[in-house]
Amino acid sequence: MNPPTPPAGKEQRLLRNARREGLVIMTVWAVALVWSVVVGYLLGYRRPPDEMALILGMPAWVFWSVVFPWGLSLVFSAWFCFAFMADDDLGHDPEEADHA
Amino acid sequence: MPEPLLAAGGATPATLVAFAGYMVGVFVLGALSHQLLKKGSFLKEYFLGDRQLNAWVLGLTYVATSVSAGSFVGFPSLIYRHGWIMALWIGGYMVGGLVSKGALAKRLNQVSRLTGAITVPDVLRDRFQSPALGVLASVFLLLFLVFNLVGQFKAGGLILREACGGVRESAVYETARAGTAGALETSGLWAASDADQPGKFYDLDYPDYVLGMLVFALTVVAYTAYGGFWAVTWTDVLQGVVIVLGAVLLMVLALRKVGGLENATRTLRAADPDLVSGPGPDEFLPLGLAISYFFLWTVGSMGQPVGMVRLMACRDTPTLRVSLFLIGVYYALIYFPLVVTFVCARALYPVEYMQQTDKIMPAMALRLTEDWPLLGGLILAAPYAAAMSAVAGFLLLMSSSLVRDLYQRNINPNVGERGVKRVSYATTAVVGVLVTALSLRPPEFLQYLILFTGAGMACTFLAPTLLGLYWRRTTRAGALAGMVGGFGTVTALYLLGRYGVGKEGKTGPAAQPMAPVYLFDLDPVLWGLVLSFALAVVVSLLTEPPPDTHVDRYFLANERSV
Repeated sequence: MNPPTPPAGKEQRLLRNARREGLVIMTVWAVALVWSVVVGYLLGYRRPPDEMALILGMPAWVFWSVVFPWGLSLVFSAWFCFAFMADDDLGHDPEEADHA
Repeated sequence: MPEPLLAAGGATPATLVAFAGYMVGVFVLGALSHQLLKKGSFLKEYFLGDRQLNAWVLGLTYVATSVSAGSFVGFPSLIYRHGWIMALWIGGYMVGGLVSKGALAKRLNQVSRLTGAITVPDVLRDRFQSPALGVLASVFLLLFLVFNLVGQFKAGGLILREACGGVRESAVYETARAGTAGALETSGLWAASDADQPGKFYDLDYPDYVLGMLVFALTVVAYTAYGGFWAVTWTDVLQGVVIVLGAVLLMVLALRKVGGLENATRTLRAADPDLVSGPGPDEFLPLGLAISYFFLWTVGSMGQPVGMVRLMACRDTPTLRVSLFLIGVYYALIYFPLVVTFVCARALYPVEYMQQTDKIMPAMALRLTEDWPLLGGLILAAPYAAAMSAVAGFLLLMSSSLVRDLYQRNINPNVGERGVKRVSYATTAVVGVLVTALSLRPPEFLQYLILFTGAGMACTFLAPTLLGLYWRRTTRAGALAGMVGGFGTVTALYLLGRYGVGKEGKTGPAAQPMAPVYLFDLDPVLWGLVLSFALAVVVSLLTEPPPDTHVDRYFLANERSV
């Protein structure tokens, strides 16, 4: 069944959803940027080689600043794509719309 | 003296057989794609695949297009030279797919459908009711793409030259090489005596490089021109699979050879502690550049028109959500394995390739598969596939700009379906031939040109597109100011760097003669984006708002959009 026609002047639902999803994505981007760069800098820059611990065979700072947040980002992506992102009608090209 | 690649367990005829098998697959897919062009609107079908991409295809084509030869040749070379710091350099890809695609996809797809747009300049022209803006966007796009394509063609030629290593003594190869040398001598581009002058052509190993580049060009131009978007897309799928498999297989083989990652890291630490800590050898990645690259791989990727076109081609939102997730997985399966592989490469071959680091990828592919040459051919096809898929996408983007944005919308609006078809095939082929000609003697400093085009496209297109889609107050003048401001900033910083401005007291990449000016240690992409957005917003607020009658259709619900 088609959804009822909304009142004139109302913002498109797709636009509202896209803006909300974009804001969530950019928030996660900012967190990832700060986490990755700050942790990488604090744990990995100009450290004496003797203090350099290894995790899974790689320097610990690489694990905590890149591998760990990368894993979390994939988990977040799964949630975002399959539980958060809304289904919206993308519309039609003009010639198809004319035939609709 | 580094050990010659081909003398060190190099390519064999079996390697070339695997490589040839991959090429046959590409051609078959190109031919099949041509059949799909026979139905529906030609332009939309040829340049946008009739907006029918499904999730797996969209994911693979997006990744294959964004992973270029640079990812498989330049990136491994940097890891081999600088070690673990490259993990932080590439770290932005942890959210790269999500940011570059998720923030723009739905809205861009919807707006392009609303107006029937099939290119990015098309979208800008309609949204801002400005043919001039559309033309300017096309001109900027063409300029960037020419630089980028020359780089990709060069990489394709170099890789194929290595793949042919095992058959160089054969009569067929000798004949082809002699023919190429003859043609180059006749045209005055090269003389046999040049072979005795190392470095004259930047170590390109003429005429073998030209032979490889011509085969590469012929293949990719032929299937792109013949099959259009579907050919590019379906070959992207094959290429995407080859890229992911190649990256993962290479990592497994490298770990096996080096005896585990811990061995590799300890070997690097013993050789040079800078290889396992920041900012890396030669102050490679100061904090400012680490932030800049995170921007470039995420927000910068969002502004690449070749990616935007793929978002416009998506079928529906369920497709978007699945492909968005898949892209994140693909990036994780490509980039981190490459870091691990080439950290192992440095441990395995600590000095052998330091004078020719661009060869470390084919060298590893061939050395690690000496007992399985067919597998070596498949892995060697991965960087070639990356170059091919990027070239095909860019080539189609260039011809769509010329055919749709310049020819059909400005020169001959009444052109019929048959005329459009002829112009489309011819333009794609002519652009391919032109770039091939430019790639015969590519400039030495191409790597910086490629970085310049990536940063330049992001700073030119992102602000007008993103603001135009989400902020109804954006005006034509604001979009124009953002576009020109972004382009101007990046171009100026690269040009100033070329003339040595701001290089005093710098070390590492910032001190390179062709490097741009890293103002406050930040890459030009950051300055370009900031200025482009600032100009677009300020100028929009200072100019007359666009008429509601025009903007409402993009922002308000009606009977066709809820």
